[in-house]
Amino acid sequence: MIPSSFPNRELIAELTAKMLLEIDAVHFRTEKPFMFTSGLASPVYIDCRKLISYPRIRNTLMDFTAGIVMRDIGFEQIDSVTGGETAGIPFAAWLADKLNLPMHYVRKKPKGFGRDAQIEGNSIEGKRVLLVEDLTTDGGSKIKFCEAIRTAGAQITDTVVVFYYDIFPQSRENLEKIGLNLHYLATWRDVLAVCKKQAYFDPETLKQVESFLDDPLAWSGANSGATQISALNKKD
Amino acid sequence: MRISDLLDIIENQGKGVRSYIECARICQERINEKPEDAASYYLLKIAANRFVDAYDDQPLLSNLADSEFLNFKNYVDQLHAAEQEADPAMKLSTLNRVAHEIANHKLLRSAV
Repeated sequence: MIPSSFPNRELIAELTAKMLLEIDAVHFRTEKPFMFTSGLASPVYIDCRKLISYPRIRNTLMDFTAGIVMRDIGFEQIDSVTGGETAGIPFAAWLADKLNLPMHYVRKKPKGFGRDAQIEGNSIEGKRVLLVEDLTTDGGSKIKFCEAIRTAGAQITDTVVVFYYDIFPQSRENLEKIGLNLHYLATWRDVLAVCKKQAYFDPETLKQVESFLDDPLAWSGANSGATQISALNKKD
Repeated sequence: MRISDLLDIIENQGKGVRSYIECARICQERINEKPEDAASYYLLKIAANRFVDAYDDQPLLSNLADSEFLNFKNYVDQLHAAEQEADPAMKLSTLNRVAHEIANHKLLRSAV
C-alpha cells in the first residue's frame, strides 16, 4: 500500500536507529576493529541485512523510505526501483511494491556482453531509475552501479539507502561528481544519540565511537588502518 | 615492478577489500605485459579475487585481515623465489604447490 503519511526526518532517524539497535544490527568494537573496504580501521559496523528477517521493522522502514522518496523526489518521477547486488535487492523489491513500480537489479559485474549485461529485469533504456542499497559508506559501490545503469541507457539522479555513514566528506563529493542525490533514513550520529539516551554500550566504548565519527582517518591511523580512503577509479 | 611490490599495494591501502581489487587488476596487467610470468600472476589474481568475493559487503575484522595478508604474502614469497629459479622443474613444482594451497585455503567469516 502506498503510504500517505509523512513523518518528520528526526522521528524517522530516531526510530530507524532504535530498530537497528533492537535487532543487534549495530556492532561496536574498540579492540580488534573492523576493516572497511577502503582499508580504514573502524570501531563501528552495521549489518542492515539483518533487517530482512524482521517483517514489522522492515515494513515500517520501507514505509519511511517510500515517504522520503515521494516527498523529496516526487510522486511520478521514477519508472524503476533498481536494487544494487546483493543487499539492495530485497529492499528494492519491497520498495517497488510499496510504490507500485517495476523493479530491476544491477549486478556488481557484467554477465556476458552488451549494454544490459549488468541489469536484470526488462530493459531499462530510457527509464528514470532510483537506485536502492542497504547503506552507503564512501559511495564507492554507487559509482559503479550508476555507471552500469547509465550504460544500459537509463537516467539516474537519485539513490536511497536505509543507512548512511555520513562521516566521510568524500562520499558526498563522490556522489555529486556523478550527479547523484543521496536519500537516507538514519546515520551514525542518530545511532550514537539513541545509544547515549538509552545507555546502550558502556561510556568508554561510546567515547571511542564518537572519536572515530569525529575524525575517522585519525582513528583509523591510530589503529593500524589506512589514513586515506583509497579511490576506485581504475577498472578492476 | 616486482611481484613482491603487490604486498606494498595491499599494505598501503590498509589490507581492505579495495586493495585486493587493485592487486587483481595489476596482476591482469602483468599477465598481459609479461606472458612468460603469466602463471604466477594468474594464481595471485585468483587468490586476490577470492578475498574480494569473501569479504566484499561482509564484515572483516582487523585480525582476520592481518592473517589473510600473511597468507597472501606466503604465496607471493614462494612465487618471487620461483621467479629467480633457473631450473624449470623447480619453477613448475612451486607453481603447483601454490596452486594447491590457494585452491584449499578456507576463508573464514568474521565472528561479530
